[in-house]
Amino acid sequence: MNETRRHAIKLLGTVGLTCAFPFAGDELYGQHVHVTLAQTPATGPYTPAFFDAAEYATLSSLANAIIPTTITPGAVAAGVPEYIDRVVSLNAEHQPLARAGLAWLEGQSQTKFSRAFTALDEAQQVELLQPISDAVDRQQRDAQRARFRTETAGTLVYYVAITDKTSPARPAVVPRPAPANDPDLPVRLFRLIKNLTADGYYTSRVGLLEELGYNGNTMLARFPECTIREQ
Amino acid sequence: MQNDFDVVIVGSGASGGTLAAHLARQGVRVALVEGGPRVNTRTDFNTHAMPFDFPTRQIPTMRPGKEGFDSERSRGVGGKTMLWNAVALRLSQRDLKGRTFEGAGEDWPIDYKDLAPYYDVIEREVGVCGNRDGLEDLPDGEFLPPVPMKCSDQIIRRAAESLGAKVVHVRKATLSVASKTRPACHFCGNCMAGCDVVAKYNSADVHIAPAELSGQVTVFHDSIVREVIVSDENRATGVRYIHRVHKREGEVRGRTVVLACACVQSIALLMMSTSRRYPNGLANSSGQLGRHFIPHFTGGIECLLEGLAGKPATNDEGFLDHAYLASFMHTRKRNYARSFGAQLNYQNRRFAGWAKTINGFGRTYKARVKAGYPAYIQFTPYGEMLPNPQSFVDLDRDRTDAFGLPQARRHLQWGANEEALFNDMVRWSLSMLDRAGAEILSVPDGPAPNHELGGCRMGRDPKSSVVNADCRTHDVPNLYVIDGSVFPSASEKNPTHTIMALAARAAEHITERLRKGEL
Repeated sequence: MNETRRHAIKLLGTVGLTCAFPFAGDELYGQHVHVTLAQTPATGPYTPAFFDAAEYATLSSLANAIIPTTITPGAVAAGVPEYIDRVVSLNAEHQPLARAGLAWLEGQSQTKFSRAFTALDEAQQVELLQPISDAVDRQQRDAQRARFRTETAGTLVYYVAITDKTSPARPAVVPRPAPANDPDLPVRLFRLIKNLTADGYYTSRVGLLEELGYNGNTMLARFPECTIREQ
Repeated sequence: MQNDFDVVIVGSGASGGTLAAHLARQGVRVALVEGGPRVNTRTDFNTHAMPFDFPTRQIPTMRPGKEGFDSERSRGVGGKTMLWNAVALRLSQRDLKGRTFEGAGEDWPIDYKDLAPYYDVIEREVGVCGNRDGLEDLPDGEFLPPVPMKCSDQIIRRAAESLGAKVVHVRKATLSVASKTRPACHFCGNCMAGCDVVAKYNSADVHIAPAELSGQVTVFHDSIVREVIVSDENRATGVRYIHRVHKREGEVRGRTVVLACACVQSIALLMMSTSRRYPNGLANSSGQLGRHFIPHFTGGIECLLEGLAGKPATNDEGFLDHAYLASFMHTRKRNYARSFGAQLNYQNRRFAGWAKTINGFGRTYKARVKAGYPAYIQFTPYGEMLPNPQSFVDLDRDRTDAFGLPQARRHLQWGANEEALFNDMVRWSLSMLDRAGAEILSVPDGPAPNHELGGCRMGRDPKSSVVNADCRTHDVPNLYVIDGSVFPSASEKNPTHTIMALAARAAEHITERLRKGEL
């Protein structure tokens, strides 16, 4: 995807309304389709909309390997697999990658340990995932370094999205095929699931309130002076 | 058709609301035409929602069944002031006179002393908190007491001071003490999702509602203006609109027309209002309409401050940013013109999207995110853009919205000055953050446009500008434009306070002309 196009997409919907900032931290990863699902109370176990039962079990184990249970609950207890299933089912471009990637992970587990990924112990999970995670971190670091340059070539042409319910929908993003022999498949899968797990966990009640200790959204008679001492 | 208004204002945000209220106090009869519905800031926004209330964790702006702020044009009575962050900064003489001071950009046809009395009026009327810092490039005003800085602000303030820069208390149109009609801010932390007690200024509650009660102002909501009507005698006689809900057309007539639709939409409306006399857009005999588009550019940095890592999480959302890095480059040697400032700690803590950028996985990863949570900040510098011929706004007639209106299109190209300024502001930001003991999580891709300014530039020469120093169009003697589009130069400062001051100033001018029978 060329630079101009990438910037144009990034700007959609961000300038006109509230001058939001283009931070990675301001966006939920992988959600290009913006739907408002009704607030429905949970009734009974969740039925995945996209993943089959085996895939969902592998996904759940992977999410919990990324954010495990410690003194606070992990990804599964926080409902992260449900979140990931929802996002992937609503955003078709992730589907081939998620499916092929989970199949690859399961295959690796069988090859290396002759067991399902869901049956690996923590040391085995680490052995399998660490090199992939390291590669993801390396790519991110290189991308950050490459950003120290200013884009001056070409004119940026952009629109601000009109999201009136009556306006025509934006064209669908064409899913990129994720062939099983894509050498980058493990890294792409891990990046996708890690990003979705982080978003899902730290926006959950468990992750935000219990783990991180969020205590805002309340009334303060006055804003307190800082009492934290450095060092 | 409604006929007998003195002034028809299109748009009900900071400019339209201020203007309507000031005119109404002088007994002027005003029609305020707004494309969106009425919105109740006390009940209609998801101000206190949390992400886990929603299956995809996206918090919708409006509560179920409520309409309004779901489009580019911020349609709703009150405009963008319903969701703004309320930063209220005065421009300085140096901001207004870039060409005089350093031969770059354009001078405003007015001076700081022309604007200062109106900044005073707005500050007294809406309530702006802040500290009097005595800085030449960030003029002081009549402030309510400032709000304490956050821990992270103080760390960055010390780092900035060691490099000779000043971090000051933010100046915001949010009450730090109660007024007769509005309570003080209680720091629930989500100003940009609406303010359900109106401690933060919004034009609907603070300016428009009292003006309507006076009987002088009539609000036409859900009326999307598609054209300014101009008579054969070259007088603006009113506006033609499409009703947002039932799609029927209507007109509002008056003796004076003011466009206050926010920068790009005012430009688009003039471009849509073509006639035999104005084939290239109304008030565009100069060909300058849409030219000199000069949005602010930003390049935010995310980081973790070592001094706060691993500390207990505190409730420090406050009213979003509490501190501001004042412009300091005007007096330094540099290889570019103009300057930058920065907003600090803009985020609320209901989301930790930055956790995606933390290395690793498993227990170590989880512990790193937890330690980083109280230490995370965003540092967002804003720079001034100089106009260039490649940066302008026009209409894309092949791309229409649900009402059949052509969509506005922004063309933007950064010039050599923007490149140099952007690189320097990122370099300075990183230097300050480094002194503050920060671990950098992300740096910007490149300059990103923000507050939209320019396109109906104010000037003395009708050949090179669209409106005069009173915001009146050179071409049509009873047509005005008052919003960010009239800025001849942008400065790096958030523009709303200046837009409101311009509206208050224009209200006096229009009232005077109505009295003299000139309109």
